[in-house]
Amino acid sequence: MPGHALLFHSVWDDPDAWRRALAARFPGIELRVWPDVGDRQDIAYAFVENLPAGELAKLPNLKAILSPGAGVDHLFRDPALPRHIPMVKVVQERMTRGIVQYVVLHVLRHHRHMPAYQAQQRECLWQELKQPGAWDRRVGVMGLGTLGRASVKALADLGFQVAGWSRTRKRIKGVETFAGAGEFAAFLGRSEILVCLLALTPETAGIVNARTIAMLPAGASFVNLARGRHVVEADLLAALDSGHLSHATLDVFNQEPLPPASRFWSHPRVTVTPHRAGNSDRLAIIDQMLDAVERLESGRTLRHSVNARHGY
Amino acid sequence: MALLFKSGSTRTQWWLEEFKAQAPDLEVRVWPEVGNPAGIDFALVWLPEPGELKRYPNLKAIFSLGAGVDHLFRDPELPKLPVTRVVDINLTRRMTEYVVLQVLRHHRQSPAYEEQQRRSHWQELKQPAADQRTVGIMGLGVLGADSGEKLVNLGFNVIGWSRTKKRVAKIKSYAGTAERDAFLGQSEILVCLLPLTRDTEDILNARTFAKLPRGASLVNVARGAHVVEGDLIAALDSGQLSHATLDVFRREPLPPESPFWLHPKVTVTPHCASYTDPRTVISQVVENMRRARAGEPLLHSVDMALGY
Repeated sequence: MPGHALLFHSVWDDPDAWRRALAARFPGIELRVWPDVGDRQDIAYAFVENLPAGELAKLPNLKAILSPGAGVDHLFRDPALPRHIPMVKVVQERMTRGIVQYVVLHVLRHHRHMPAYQAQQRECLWQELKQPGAWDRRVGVMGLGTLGRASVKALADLGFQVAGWSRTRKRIKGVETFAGAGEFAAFLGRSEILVCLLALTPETAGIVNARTIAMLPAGASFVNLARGRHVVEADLLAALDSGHLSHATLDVFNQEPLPPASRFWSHPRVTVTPHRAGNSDRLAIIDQMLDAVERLESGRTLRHSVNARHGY
Repeated sequence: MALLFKSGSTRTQWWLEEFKAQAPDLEVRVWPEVGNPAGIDFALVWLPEPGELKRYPNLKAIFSLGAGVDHLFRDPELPKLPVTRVVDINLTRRMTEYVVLQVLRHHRQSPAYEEQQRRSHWQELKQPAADQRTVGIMGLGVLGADSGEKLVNLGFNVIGWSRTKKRVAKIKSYAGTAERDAFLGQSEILVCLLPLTRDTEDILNARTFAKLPRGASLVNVARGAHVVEGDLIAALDSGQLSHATLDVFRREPLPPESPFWLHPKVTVTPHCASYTDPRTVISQVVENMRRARAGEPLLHSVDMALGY
């Protein structure tokens, strides 16, 4: 029978938990764990990340592609991606809160000179550093989707002067917003702490590079929890070495896990975390994805679907 | 008609510039260059030398240079005069920034990730969500309530403990000795924002740490004398506490031989969580000098019996 299986490929998720959840809600849908696809005609749903290019196009009865993350750039890397098929990305309150916490934690950590205080502690040095209030600190958030919007609101709640930048104009109460390439330089020029929460698309790949970093105020800092490929890593290291950037906190990298030889590990102006900003609740993600399956099975419209033209 | 000024920090020059800008006619005498003691009417001071303030026969009021007044009560001969403290919205905001930062650092296991980074080690740690994490705030005054509100907004489950029951939205309040153990038993991240009084000195001791859930952590932004330092080290070494972030100490600057400096489970900051902003304080001081001369009640006066 065509269309009675779900193809699974995710390093983040537990196939047994999925199997149990499917058995409870959709006993007619069988879980197939990549690469054991079986008969390709059987596959109706694909909960997949980083399948080899062209594989999704070989599934003739595919009804929806379910992304294990909030980002879907991994799907669009496949030139043969069947773009007419509905795509669903993870949107969950707990992950949004996890991202917001990470943003607030690391913006505050930069703002309150914690890297410097921690270095002083290693030297047993008691010395207070000059400290502006959040009301005198300008933070800039790139990307104003669900995660960016929640982050700028939380930063504004703590009193920071927050601005956001996105492809198209967004309006958020209490937050100055900039849009498009035309306003990017003005946005960067005011951002003492820059946070990247962009979707990765051909337009945003490499957006943090020598030219854009140079537009930030001297001594600015950077927090990246979007994708490693937003950053030209050599340019970032050069700006940290020169002191133009005072610190970078990085949760994502061009290559993950970050290779032991990477200079980021030992750079005194870099904080590394292992792609854990979102702290997503994987069991809740099963529920969200199976809700999407239910909507498709009953012919209703999807929530949290991906715009194939924009790529996010 | 002069104001005696003694600051605990190295920011005296900044204060003098602000006095000049805001109250150009006020004569400010910086301790110890006090001139004729009879010319001093008011004192804006941090940690005056014991016996110092009784030297001024015409002193009319004592203004504490901070939100706390415990530093004044270390003087057994403190004159029986009206005492005021600082209520500064910027002091509250700075404190809230620090508390939110350190609670998030503990919650998101930054010390462990920082240690992993030193070993170039990429490993995700099991991470509870904020709504599964209880933050306990000791002291639900202006500072505790503001920090608590921001932590609630970030999704934490927040509870509070104070001498008397407080009503703060979305924060369950525990009060007095009778409810202390119930409060401690739930507090996975304990934040101390208590005033220092006879009742709260040494309150962070072995017994208190033993009542916390195993692996709990501590953020102390109140006073060093709240902590029995040996008990804290023992609780960290036994694993009862996973981490402590300390901004205040019994002796400040923290002496180089203190075990806190290099303890792997301790974060030390140099009493920088918050401070009194001259711009806000000077206008309060000028207003209180006017009120004192006019015989009106002072702003932000302290209940000497309670000690805060």
